[in-house]
Amino acid sequence: MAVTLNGTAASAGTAHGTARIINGPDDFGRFQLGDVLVCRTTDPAWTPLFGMAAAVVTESGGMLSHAAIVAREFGIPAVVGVRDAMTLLADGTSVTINGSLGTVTVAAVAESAE
Amino acid sequence: MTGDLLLTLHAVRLLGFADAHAIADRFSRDHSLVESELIDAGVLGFVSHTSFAGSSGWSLSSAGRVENERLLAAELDREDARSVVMGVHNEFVDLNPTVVSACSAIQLQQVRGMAASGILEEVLASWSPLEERLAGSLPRFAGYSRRLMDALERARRDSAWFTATDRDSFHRAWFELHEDLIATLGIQRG
Repeated sequence: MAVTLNGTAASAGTAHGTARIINGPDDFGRFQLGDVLVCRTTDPAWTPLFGMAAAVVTESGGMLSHAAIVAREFGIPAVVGVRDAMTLLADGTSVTINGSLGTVTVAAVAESAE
Repeated sequence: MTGDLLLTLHAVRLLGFADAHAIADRFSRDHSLVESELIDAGVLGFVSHTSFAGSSGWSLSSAGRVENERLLAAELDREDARSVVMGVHNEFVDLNPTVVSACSAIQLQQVRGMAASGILEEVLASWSPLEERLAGSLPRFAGYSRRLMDALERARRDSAWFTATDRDSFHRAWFELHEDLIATLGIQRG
């Protein structure tokens, strides 16, 4: 069953990829080209990840956040302000990001999720 | 020496992911000395050297971030600068929405470059005296106004200088300034 999380549409476009939950710089090595970056917030250290990411999902921030500006520069979709994204999305899950609508869709979820 | 480790770790923090030359240049320091400090910091687990996104460079580990913030807090106390930085940060918070909004409008083509430039010039005029106040207590804060001014000057010929990530654009310098202020005060980004 598909599940959709909602946030703020911050950088337009759609993309599909593997959700990679990144807590901080120590996790950067796990990030692969084409992954969807899922994190709480970003700072300048995260900019190189945007260059590898298919899309970005953050728990904090809004349309006028630094993350939104950086995502637009890289031309990748971004949905920001997705509450509890880091716990609701499992690492490795296949997700579709719509940065124009502000949605994160999980194709298949575990039974415990709703 | 503690002061040197502070500048080395803080340069890595501000640049995010950079080679030793860029890290040394951030605070106009000797390249070989900084490279040596980076290797020592790597042994302590504060930084790591990785190949990433098609290039290689140094980045701060979580432990390095904690150490960076510990050294910054000690610097604030030593220089008796906490109230100055807090006051400037409060005024920065008032300016930040205007910058982020103007940068977003430029990207979304909701505003012409000339109009955006005027808005950002006003912000810069407000920021410059704040930087002077800040650098009076902590000299390492000097330089942002010049970088922001240079970016605006270049943006007159090439609008990429407003928001690009591959050069020292207005937004990149501003984003770094934001990180510098909150790192110095130990504030978690919201």
